[in-house]
Amino acid sequence: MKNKDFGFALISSIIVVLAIFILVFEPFNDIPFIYNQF
Amino acid sequence: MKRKVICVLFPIIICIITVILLNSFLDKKLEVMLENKDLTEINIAYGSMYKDRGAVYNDYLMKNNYLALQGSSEFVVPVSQLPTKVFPIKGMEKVVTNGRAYFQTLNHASILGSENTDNKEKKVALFLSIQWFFDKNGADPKSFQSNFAPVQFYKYLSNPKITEKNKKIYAARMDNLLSGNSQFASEKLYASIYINDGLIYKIAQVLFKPYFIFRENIVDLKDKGLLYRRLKLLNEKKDVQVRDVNWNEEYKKAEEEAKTKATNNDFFVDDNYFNKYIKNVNAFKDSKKNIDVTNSEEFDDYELYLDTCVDLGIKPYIILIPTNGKFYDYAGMTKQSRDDFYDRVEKMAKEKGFEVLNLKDEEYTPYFMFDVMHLGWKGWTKVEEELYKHYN
Repeated sequence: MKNKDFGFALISSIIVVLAIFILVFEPFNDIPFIYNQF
Repeated sequence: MKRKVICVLFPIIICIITVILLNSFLDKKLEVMLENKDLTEINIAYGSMYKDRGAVYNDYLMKNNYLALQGSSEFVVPVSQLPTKVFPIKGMEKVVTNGRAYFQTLNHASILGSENTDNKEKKVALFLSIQWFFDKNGADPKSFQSNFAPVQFYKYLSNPKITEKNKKIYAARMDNLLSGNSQFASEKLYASIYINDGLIYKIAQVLFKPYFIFRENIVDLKDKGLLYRRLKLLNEKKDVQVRDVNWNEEYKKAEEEAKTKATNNDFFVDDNYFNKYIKNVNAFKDSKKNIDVTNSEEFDDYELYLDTCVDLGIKPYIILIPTNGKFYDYAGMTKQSRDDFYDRVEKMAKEKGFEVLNLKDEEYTPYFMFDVMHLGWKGWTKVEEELYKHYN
């Protein structure tokens, strides 16, 4: 149970950090298809 | 239960820490890069997102006494006399253009309102076009949205130097112009909440506050992040020798160039433009006869632009771009109605204490205009000479 909660917190945090970096730096804006997905 | 709450809060705390650290990192990096990189490429670029849809880059320019030329599509006409090709010169070393096609006074008010600087010597020149006033409703929503910048919007509305009255007028216009656009639904909602005092809007304000704080920070970070990526690609700053300008020589060169480019029509417009757009000249006979240039919401937006300048302590130099007189006479818009327009916008600016360059007497000067509405060979030279005199 402990591990499940910890796993959720960890994965959510990684997703949040990645999302912020993608929003801020738009690393995929040179690839229109991928860029449009965001 | 306690552990579950902590596990939910954990990503939120990580999010806040990431935003704070990233902001601090970008601020430090940008400060150094803006000082050391050669910014010419961005300064002369047409349609640059860092200038037209950003805030942090414009802030830097204003703090460093750049002259901002605020206009629209005239910055891209294919003549050698464009300010991006003529400047820098001795006495006009720091010049930058703002704006692209479909920019109007509201876009430029947003740019100025988003700048956060105490520089009292801010230099701004607005190139005002009569075509902005052709539509009764002023700016077209779709065109406005294509140039809209959320970061400027939030910064304008949180700028302590701008009066609450002007912020309300600005928010009301945004509420109107952002209708029907899902991309800017957040800003449309923010504007609605800003101008309405009803109970529902008060509740919405409280409910959406965390979201708007996040959104405001993210668009600000995005502005910095994209600029950081662009600056990384630029070369280091070098010392450049600027030339002296002899304006009589510039006029001669302009006329010589124009004589080779405008040869096939009586309007003195560029040959390629004539062939592409107005060769079937009969179709334009009286085509602008019913335009009432005295009745447009653009006047309110222009007033807001001037009032924003007053709030910010900026004294813009207002340049009234003429039309191609021969063409507009042919299209049925009388010289009298055009002159009335120029005089009215001149009076509005002068009432606020701003200087105006009214070029209404140049409407029939050959080679002054590139086409029917954009400055051309002699027109640009004249404007640049007047700018030089004004700022020296």
